[in-house]
Amino acid sequence: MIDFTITETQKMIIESLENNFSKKTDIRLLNEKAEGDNEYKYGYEEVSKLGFLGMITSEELDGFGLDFVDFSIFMEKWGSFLCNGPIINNIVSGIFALQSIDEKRFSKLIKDLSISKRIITSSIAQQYESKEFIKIINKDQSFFLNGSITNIEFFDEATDITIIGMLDNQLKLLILPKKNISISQEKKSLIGDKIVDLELSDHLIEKDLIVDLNNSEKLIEQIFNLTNLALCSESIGICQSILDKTLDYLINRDAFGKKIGTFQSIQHKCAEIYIYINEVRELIRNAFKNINNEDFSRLASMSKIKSDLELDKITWISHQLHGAIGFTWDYGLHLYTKKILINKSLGGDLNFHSTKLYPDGN
Amino acid sequence: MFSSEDLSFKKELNSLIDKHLPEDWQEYPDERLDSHWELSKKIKSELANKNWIAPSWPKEYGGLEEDFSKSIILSETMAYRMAPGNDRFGVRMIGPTLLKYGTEFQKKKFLNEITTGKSQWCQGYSEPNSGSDLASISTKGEYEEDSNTITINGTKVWTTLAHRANRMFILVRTQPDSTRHKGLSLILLDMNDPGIKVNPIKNISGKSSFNEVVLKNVKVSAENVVGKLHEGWMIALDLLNFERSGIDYIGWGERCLDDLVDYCYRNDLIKENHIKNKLALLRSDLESAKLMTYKALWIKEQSDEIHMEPSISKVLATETNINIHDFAFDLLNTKATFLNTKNKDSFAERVIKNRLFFVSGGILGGTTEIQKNIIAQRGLGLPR
Repeated sequence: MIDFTITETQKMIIESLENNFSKKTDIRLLNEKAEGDNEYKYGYEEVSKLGFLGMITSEELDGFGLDFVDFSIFMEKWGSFLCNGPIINNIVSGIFALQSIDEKRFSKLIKDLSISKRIITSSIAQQYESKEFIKIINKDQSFFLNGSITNIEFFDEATDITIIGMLDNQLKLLILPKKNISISQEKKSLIGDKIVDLELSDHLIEKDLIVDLNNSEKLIEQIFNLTNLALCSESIGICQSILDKTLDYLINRDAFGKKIGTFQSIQHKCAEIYIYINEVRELIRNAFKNINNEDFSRLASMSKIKSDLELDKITWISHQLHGAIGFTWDYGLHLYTKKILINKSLGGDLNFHSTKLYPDGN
Repeated sequence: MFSSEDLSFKKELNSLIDKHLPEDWQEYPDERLDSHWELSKKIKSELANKNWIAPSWPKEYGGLEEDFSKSIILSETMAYRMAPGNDRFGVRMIGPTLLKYGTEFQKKKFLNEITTGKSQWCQGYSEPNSGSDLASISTKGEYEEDSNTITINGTKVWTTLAHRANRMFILVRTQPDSTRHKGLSLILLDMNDPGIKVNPIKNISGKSSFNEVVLKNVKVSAENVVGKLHEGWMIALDLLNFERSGIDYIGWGERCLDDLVDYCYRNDLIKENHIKNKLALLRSDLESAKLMTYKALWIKEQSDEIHMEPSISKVLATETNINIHDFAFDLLNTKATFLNTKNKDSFAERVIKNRLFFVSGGILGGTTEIQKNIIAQRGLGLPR
């Protein structure tokens, strides 16, 4: 059925985040973080207190029992305030993955993740894209991990990391406690977030940390697609803020004796931004709606393709409309632009997703 | 997005179209041709027998009171199949307008004519000196109180299907000395009335799907005014929102893209990354344009307020359709520049004919630039 209604629950999500975050986006502190002077973060703890970490957790496990369209609305709002925290990893690579594998067996861990008692970071989505899996070696029923994992975010906050390992040519999910995992390299993202590479060298683990996966390809692909879609939703929220910021500037800025927002060439650029945001948002939400349909993977790839193309454009149009002020560090537009670029760089490029839509030789 | 019942309807509709369209049908409907016009009447008549012309309308006016998704499927499928008989002026423009603003007399008479397939409507908005600036129209309508009639004089232009239509909804300046959007009335005309002359205009693709319509002392009863006399502007604008969803362009674009993908696989072009990437981009464009089109139609069903979605969907649908045809032309290259050759490539011929014709998409119903003005000023609140 064709229905674009924003439900009461979704309105509640929007309102709740607006009430809690509208004053938290402190450009000065975010700028300092980007310069490496602080580690300013907001969003995760507040969201945890509001119970949103358990938004897709079933009501039987004390969660909200919401669906992924609700999650996409949440991510849009989360992105609009430039919030920062391991929300996607925790919900998609943690709670969703565990629910899909065996909700009963992992009920304790799901509950802990839903109230932030434990926090997951993950490399599942990246491993799906690169097809590089950690080797699991069985030596007389002792299990060792070998391999490297790159570009892990929120490692400091996390208690555990989910990764994909390969044992006897079969994919396994590993839920590893963070302790004793060594960091091989520390990096800073464009906006000052800490990113780490990890090296696992004959890393001994307990056998019960290895989770068998039925239909593993499908689950891993779903985690990859959901992670991508969540990032796209976050980017939509960021772009909505870029548009709001741009309109505010154009309505107040005088030049040639009038508000520059009266010029048609400028108005048309704003209309284009609005069109891009609306079309991409509906594409993403529709993909989330179809999580259980066979078309899901194609819809997710189309969402990623369109997000990368159009949302990137929005940032550059916005800089052009702002003129020199948008080029400055202090104004803060660069923070939005950089976050869009970071999200664009994750989750597969155009070649990758085009091949998912149009496989060679079929 | 569509229910299993909707999909069954689509299947039946396709069977109905199969019955009438030749298997190798590659032509965009051109009702100037008698053969296409006859086909259009046949398909319309069969749709009418099943009450499918306007399935979401009330039963008393020939509809089935079905969910509007069936109307979407109808328009999109007819466009995808390039089938004649898709009455967009009647079903999608004046019909919903009459349901909203019409008198009981108008609804009974004109809506039933539409759903029985007995009428073909055309739109009398643009004039030689009034295109995008619709409020500047000068066709005059003189109201005579005694006879309760209006006498119309003026010229309308770019009037699609006027040469086949028996009805026209026309925007006329009925209040003497009024300017801009004041003093206008939306009136329903019988094209067979004395004083109406239709002059075909050949377009860029060589067809004469649109016309000039000269009106000289055309008398019409005031009971054919939609809404109040002299207060037709807002109704005329609302009608445009029914027009602007862009749903036909989605069907035409999807057909061309599907055929193009098939062409690329058959000719081993899909392995070329730049081709595969472009096809994926176009497919993604089409999917998002389609969703915005559905949303525009959905939102019109939900509320009477003016929304930006029809403007957004019109821009997206028309541009995406053109981009698909442009890429098809790029790949087909010189093949698409020959017409009527002995061993003609029907897909290539269709691509170039349609590409030329679809220049009109970004112009008619309010240009792309007008839509962007609407979005910026009414939607985003930027100052005039």
